[in-house]
Amino acid sequence: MKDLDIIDKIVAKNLPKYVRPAEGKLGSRQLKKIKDKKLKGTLERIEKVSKEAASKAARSELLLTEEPGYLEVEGIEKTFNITQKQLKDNVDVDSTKKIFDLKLTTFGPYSLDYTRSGRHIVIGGQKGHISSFDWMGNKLNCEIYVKETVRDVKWLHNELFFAVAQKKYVFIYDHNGLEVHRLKKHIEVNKLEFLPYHFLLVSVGNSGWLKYQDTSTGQLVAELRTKLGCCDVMAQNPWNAIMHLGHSNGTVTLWSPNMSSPLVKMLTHKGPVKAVAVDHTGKYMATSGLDGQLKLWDIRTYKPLQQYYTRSPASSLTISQLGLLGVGWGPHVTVWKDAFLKKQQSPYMNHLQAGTQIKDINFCPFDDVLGLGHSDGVSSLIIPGSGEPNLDSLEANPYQSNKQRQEAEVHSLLDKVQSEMIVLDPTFIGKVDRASKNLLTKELKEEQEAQRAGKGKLVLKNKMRGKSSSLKRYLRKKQKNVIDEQKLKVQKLLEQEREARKKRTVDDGEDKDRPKALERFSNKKRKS
Amino acid sequence: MKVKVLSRAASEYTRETPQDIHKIKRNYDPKLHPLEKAREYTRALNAVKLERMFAKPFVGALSGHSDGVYCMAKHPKKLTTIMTGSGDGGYGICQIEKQYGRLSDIKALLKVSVVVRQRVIYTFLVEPIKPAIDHHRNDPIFATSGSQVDIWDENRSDPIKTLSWGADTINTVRFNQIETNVLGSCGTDRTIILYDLRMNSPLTKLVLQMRTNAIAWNPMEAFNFTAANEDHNCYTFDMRKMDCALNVLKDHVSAVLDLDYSPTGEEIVTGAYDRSLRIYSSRQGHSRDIYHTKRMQRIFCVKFSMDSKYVLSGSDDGSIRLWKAKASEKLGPKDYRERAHLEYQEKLIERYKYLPEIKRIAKHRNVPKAIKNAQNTKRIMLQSQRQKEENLRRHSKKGTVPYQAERKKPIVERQVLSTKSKTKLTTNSSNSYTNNLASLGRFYVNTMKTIGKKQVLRIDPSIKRTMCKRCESILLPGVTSRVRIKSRPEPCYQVLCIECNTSKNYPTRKGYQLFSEKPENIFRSNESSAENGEDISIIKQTKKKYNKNNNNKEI
Repeated sequence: MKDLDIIDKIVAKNLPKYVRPAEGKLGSRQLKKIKDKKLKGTLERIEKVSKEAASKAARSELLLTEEPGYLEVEGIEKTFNITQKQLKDNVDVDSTKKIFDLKLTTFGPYSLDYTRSGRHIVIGGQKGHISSFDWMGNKLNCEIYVKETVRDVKWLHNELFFAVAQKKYVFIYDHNGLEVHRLKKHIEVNKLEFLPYHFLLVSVGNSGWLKYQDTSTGQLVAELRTKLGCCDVMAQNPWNAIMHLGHSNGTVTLWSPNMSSPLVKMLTHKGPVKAVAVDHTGKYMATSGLDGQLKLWDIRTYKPLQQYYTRSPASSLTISQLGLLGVGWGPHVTVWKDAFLKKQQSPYMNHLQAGTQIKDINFCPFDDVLGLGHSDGVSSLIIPGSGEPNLDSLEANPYQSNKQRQEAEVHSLLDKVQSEMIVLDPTFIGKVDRASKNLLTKELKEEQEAQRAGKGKLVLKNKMRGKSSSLKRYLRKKQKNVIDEQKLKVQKLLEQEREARKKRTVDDGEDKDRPKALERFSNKKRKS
Repeated sequence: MKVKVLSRAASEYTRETPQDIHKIKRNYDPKLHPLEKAREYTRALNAVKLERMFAKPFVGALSGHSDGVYCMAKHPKKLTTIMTGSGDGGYGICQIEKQYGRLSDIKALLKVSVVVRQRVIYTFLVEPIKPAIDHHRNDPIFATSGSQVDIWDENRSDPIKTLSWGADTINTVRFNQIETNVLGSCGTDRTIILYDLRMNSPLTKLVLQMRTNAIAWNPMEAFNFTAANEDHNCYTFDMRKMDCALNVLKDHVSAVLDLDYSPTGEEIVTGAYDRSLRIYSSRQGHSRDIYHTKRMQRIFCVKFSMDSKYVLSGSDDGSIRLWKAKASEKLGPKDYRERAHLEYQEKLIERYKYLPEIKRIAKHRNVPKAIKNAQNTKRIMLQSQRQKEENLRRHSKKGTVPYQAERKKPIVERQVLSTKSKTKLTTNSSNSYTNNLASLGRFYVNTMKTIGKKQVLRIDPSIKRTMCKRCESILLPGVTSRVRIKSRPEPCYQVLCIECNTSKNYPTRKGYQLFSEKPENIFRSNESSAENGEDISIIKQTKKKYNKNNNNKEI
């Protein structure tokens, strides 16, 4: 009996997490007003089913086997004073292997990225060293030296491919380090991101263009001009797949591939933005700027929650699955706990990587590990209580076999979400649009007009070649980031023209039968 | 210092031997499953596309009859047995056997006029009019129809009961499967009559605007039945309250000839003269699916199989076709995971069915061109009728042209045969003619005109003047037309059609003659025979005229 009470209490505590947002749901009063009994019954049934689903999901939490990690101290001891060495002495043997330091002084500073399951890591040294390895199994996948600048590395949908932003272009390598693709449209890229559910590789670079490339079809989905100059700060919101860009004028802009202008523009700092991170629930954002501030934001209201002063500007930010905030500044890494809930007086953990400059830090998913790339190589730290203890094998599974990986790849491709569905509120799909009627009709009209504009006949002046040939002019004139049917058609036409011209010139060289201009004056008869 | 770090044993998460199944850990925390709505929508979209991709409803055709298949009966207890009757006087008992998805053809083909329950027990002499027959669910009683409904006992050679209520010919009789003593019939005089075997007279009679071709009782709701009507629709009625239909099943573009309920009472299959069969949910107004093939002719009988998984249709081309009731269903056994997956897909489609893209894909059907064209024409016709009615409403006094419910439109009259007075008539509405019979009248006039045109005949002015030239309704002075006498510009009487406000003047001045009354237009047969031998060319000229007049006289 007592056990049952406890179970009920646990379920009641967990329940709110699983209840889906209920906008547009009818209240009991409104439900009473419905005269159609069949409709009423259906609505009540749906309501009942969703409630039941939430309670069952909450109940299933009892079955989860793993507990999150923790670090507790007694008396006057402080958690932030505990060093990795002390931790190493106090944890089990398997976990001691998670603390390591790779000394790679010649090619640093390094940027790094974990796969979604957290098993594999790829590191890229700025001077041209790229390596990917299975850090849990201590197995090297590949190691290559590209002899040019490497600015960022990023895993694609699984551990078979990763993208590297190099000196001029972005390259995609496979797990053996073989160059698979060179993405010529992505030029001088500083930061890469990958949206796993949309199969979109996102890049932003010196020219300030944000580009979305579909890695499953190879199509360039969108090219957006930020108009805010060179950009090297980017983070994705994992909850709604919106990209957050930090700019040198102190603003953070939010982008979706469907809009040529930012969805939201926030003035966050008085100096250039150095780093941005968004948490996994999509509620909070952390930014740091050259003005020495570290600010925490609520991105539901776009209002600041807390701000901290950093002695030197934080160069890198990251948020773990359980909501720990990692800050890399100078040679230091500081980890904050519950930072978004209330102002903290002291950090949770500290680490000094002496004599280096930290470039990139990343929490490892599903593990209590923080990876940091710095000028002297790559290090791995234990941060207890950072990773999600219970994994979902169908979502990201560090222990998956090859067969399982193949299966998962096929399924994820089948479930690939179209880029059109990237919006600020991802729960909007399937809901009734409750905007005012005027707005809806206006939108509808605009849409129809746009459609009509696309359908219109393509009228081109008869200028065939040169820089301002009509096709090229058309391509130049239209909005560059919109790739519609018309544009594809024009591109195709242009390609055909080019091909035809090429063919013509080749033919000219080979065609011997054609009479030469001066031949008419010669006595010899032409061979037929 | 107390510290705990996540440290997983790989053996907890991986299988021990390759023979084991993979260990799957689930965590339903929404944080680990971002973009769930978008992903679910994508899955729903894929599911609906797959559903349409696998929609291959045709299972097989049973041939054997040399003429069209005009009636069909299913065995109430044996799933695989059906019985069919053909226009060549033969009937067949089909044993449908599923052997690797193929069908064995008709097993036996005997020649008897009427047979009861597979075995030939008796041969009955029934009137030579196209009879319909239905057997009682439990008792050894069956009903036949002709000019009246006869109730027969299997052990007697004469009908034990004869029921009639003024119909010329009765097309169908159908026993109720729950209230087994109740049966319904429909006749050529546009009536549906309900009987009770425990009484000696019929119960009620319902007159619809057009003829009913078949009725089917709902096997789960004893009091509901559906009538397949000539006006392209089916109407579901509650026999206790027949002044309004429960449901109208639209979508066919030609007369519906037969229908049948699924054993669950949830679905209805209909076969129509437009060479297609449709499946309806019994509570919805439009069809869920349409089946057709290139070679299938007009469908005269349809049946739902007793496991509600298959649909049978017998058509004019002499073959019986077997269809899946759910077009995309996979035949054969399914393992647990496959079933779960299919259920999940179904649920997804159900959940997102109102989203435009999914709705579009789920609704799309390839329809033969003939049906598509007929649909377009029908839409235009109905639209113009509605417009006309709306115009009339707009230009007449408020309330004089009321809106009429679609479910009440087909009902002309309802009669109850009470025990006290022999017939008590309860008409549906006061001005029933203008509301209900007008369109029927128009239909008949139109038919008459069409026949006249086809045969190149003139309608006699005395008949022609009783019809409106424009809207083709019958002009009854005071009811549908207004007659006024006028003296200017010339003496005449004016007939104004109230339906469409068309007026026509008929001169009444002295000495006025109609075209046909003028002496030079009256054809004399004597002269023509005299001319016959002399000049052939004249005959050729007058031949047309002759034909016309000759036919006119016959009328």
